[in-house]
Amino acid sequence: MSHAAATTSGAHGLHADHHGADLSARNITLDPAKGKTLSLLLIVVGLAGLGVTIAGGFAVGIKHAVGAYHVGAMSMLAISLGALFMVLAFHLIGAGWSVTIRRQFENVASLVWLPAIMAAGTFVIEVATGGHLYSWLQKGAQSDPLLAAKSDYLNPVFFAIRAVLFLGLWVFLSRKMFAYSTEQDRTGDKWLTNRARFTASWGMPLLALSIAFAAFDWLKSIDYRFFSTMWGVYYFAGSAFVSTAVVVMLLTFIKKQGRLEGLVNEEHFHDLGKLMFAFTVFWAYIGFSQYFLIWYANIPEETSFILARKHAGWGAWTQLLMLGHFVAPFYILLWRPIRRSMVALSLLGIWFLFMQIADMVWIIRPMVYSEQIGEYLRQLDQGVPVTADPIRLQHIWLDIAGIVGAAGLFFGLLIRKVYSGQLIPTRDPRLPEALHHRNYV
Amino acid sequence: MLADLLARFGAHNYMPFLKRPPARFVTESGAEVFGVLAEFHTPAAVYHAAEKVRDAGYTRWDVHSPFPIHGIEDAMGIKRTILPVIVACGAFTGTGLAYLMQWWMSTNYRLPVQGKPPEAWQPYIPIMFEISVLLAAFTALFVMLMLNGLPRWHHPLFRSDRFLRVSQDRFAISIEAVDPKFDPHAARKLLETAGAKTVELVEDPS
Repeated sequence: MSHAAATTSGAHGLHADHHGADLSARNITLDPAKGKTLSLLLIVVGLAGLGVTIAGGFAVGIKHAVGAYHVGAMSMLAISLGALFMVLAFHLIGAGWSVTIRRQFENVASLVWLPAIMAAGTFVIEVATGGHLYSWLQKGAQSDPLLAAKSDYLNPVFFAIRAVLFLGLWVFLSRKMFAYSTEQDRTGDKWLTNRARFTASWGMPLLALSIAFAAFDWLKSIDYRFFSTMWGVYYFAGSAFVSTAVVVMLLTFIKKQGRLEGLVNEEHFHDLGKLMFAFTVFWAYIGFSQYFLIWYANIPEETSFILARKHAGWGAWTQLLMLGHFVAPFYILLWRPIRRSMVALSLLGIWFLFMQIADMVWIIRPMVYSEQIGEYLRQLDQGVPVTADPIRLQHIWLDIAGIVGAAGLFFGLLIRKVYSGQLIPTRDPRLPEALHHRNYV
Repeated sequence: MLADLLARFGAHNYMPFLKRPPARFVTESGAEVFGVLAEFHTPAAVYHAAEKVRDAGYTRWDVHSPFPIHGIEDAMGIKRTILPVIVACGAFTGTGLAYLMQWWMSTNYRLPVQGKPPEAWQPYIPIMFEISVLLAAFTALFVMLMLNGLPRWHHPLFRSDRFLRVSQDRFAISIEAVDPKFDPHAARKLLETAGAKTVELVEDPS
């Protein structure tokens, strides 16, 4: 053994065997055969959900079906984009504690192509069918001066170009980060960590802009009259919130099968719990700020968005989001023992996933029957008996089918991905830091 | 009653106008005994001695080192601080006070702004948030100082010449006379068997 090799292995005063951490294949891989059944089941459920959504499009109306499909796609896209943000952030700040959980974030992020293509697919359907959800695609919509003023930005050609750019950026970044990490598993080249950080340094600002503009295009443009500069951050806050929750559930699922013993422990869950707490608060901060500015300025184009979600049954939904997306998680996650328990965090994670979907429903669904909401408010204003039904609760199966469709496909592919490779990056130079991670507060 | 409580926290050390509690042990010359100070030469020695002092059941004692010793809080058996709970109380007090303040102001001096209703809750939220943060930060800083018995002008340990070396190359354990289990002879014996190089009595003659 040469002197140089000896100093390299002990660069941080730590031994090469990582203090007896179990890096054997049994501890850091799952049996791919077992995962196939589960992932196939989920994919079949997802395809069935999509089939029901398409059937619902013919039976109930294409508008309702596209709305339901878009809710599912945008919810799953939020999970992937949040995970991609986390991976880039971990590399940018040189995080050591997160090395043993980073591969799961990479797995979730690397599936960004699926929900991104699905969400972009909504636009293709909309162009083909003449704009049911994106009302600015309808014939004659250009006569509205509010749209004409925005048409330099909001036109089908530029919209499609942007969609391709977003998709290209996200797929490139997520594949690149995944490739750096897995290549390091094979070669052990420590300089890949530096290259990943360099990619993250230019990827992060572009990711921030692309998430914001994708949220403008794919969510806000559904109501083209509406303005909100907070919108992009609002969608990002929700995506960081839900992606942490999904990774917590994924890690608990893996740990329950006896894997990652001594590699991921309550210290890592404690920090993930802190992230969940942070993004719960961040979402509420952004959500309130957006509402507060609209309330103060009191401009009709903006207040109509709030008004539609304050009446006609959506008021209760708004309160559900305030309580379930912020107040309840805030008080629950304030307690340290909950942040350190993977079971408690996973139960909360399921709730977070529901809340993210509820948030997308809150944004998209009132737009599906926006004329009926207008009619409802008119009837309420004039004091005549209210006959308008903007919610159409009898078709709730269609909304559920749209969400199950996207979620089934996404989680099916995610399970396959998780089962097919290593569960942690084994040769990351910061691995010892993650193994010795401890929270002192 | 309050004086007893303040004395328990050692408040008389940094508030000279408070009455000092009577000394439990005095030397032959009549000086009050602060405690015993044991000197160690290696971090490992002080670490294992700390475990023995912890197991003997002492509560008012401390380890002194020129640098942080990994895992010393476990060896000393230090419990988690109560500070976060107090900070949360400070934060919620701030939320409530901010609400009351604005309610009182807007009901006693109605000021119509932009035609908004005076009872609107929306403008209250940022103020409630800010005052919560402010009181939480103040509570965190000042209660932390109080729990640590700071600020104070002087500490009896500085009277020991040996103690001055713990900022360079020595390690020390001090057991204070205010500890209910404290006895000068038993404490000295414990520290000597725990491997102390020297053990000395520290006086507090003020």
